[in-house]
Amino acid sequence: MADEDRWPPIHDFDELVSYVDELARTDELPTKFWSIGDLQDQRLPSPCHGDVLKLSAPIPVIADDGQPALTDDREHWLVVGNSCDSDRAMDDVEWTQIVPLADLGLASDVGKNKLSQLKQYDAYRGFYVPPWPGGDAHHRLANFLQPVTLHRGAIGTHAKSVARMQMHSWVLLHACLIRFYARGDGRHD
Amino acid sequence: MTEKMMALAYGANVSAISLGQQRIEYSITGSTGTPLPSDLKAMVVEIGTGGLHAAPSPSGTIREAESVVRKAAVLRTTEAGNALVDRLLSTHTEGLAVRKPLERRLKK
Repeated sequence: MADEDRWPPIHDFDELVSYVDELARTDELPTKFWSIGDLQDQRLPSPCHGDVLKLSAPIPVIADDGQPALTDDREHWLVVGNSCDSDRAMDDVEWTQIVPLADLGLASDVGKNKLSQLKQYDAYRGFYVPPWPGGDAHHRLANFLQPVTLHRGAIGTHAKSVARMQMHSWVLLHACLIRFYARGDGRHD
Repeated sequence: MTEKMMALAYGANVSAISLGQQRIEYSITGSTGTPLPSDLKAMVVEIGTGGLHAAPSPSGTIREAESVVRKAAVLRTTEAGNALVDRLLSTHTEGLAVRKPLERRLKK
């Protein structure tokens, strides 16, 4: 990735749709989704948009009483913040943005039919995250409804990138984020 | 008119999407004699490095953004998919039922 020009937001929509169809059919999702070797590339910012962070922390919210509070504990998070901001000096940009990953368990816990549905990427409030190589083989679901601000000073100390996406999966995440913000839920279609 | 355009353009500052503060200059390409407006090509000088870049066309950037949003927004969703994700997220969270007050306030 570091050798190429910046990835375009959506370089070809038909190709994106084909990619989703391919993911839905494949049994080798991790090999098509993750690029673990890129984690070691020092030329890349840390974290990158789409990275999975290992960070044991509760989800901070502003609750229904208007007061800040902490809710569910999470062990892994998906970075939705801009990679370019990660490449800037801390004084320029202190914060990045992450969303919590719900741990769905092993494939046998989730079930074949549900996994097949999740791989369609046809839901707009969540983003299915397959197991990454060298991980615990658990399937996860990112919750777009609960974005969290993370101080970049925690990266590498308390939060560690454990997985990085390939270009097509990154484009898919990008498209799903735009879809989440840009369209209705289809109830009145 | 050309001289006035150049006088207005030269030295104007623009904010850039990814680079720092920049200044517009115009370069003249491909013509001899008195330049016509069509000969002017907006270039952006990055203040600090002096690097020269093609100026982003505001209407072009907006069109590209609109195209990206329109394409991404039609990436399909289904009732079944939405229902499954909603169900999975709700069963894996206690939400506000788990509530602990924050204990620390950040200070600059």
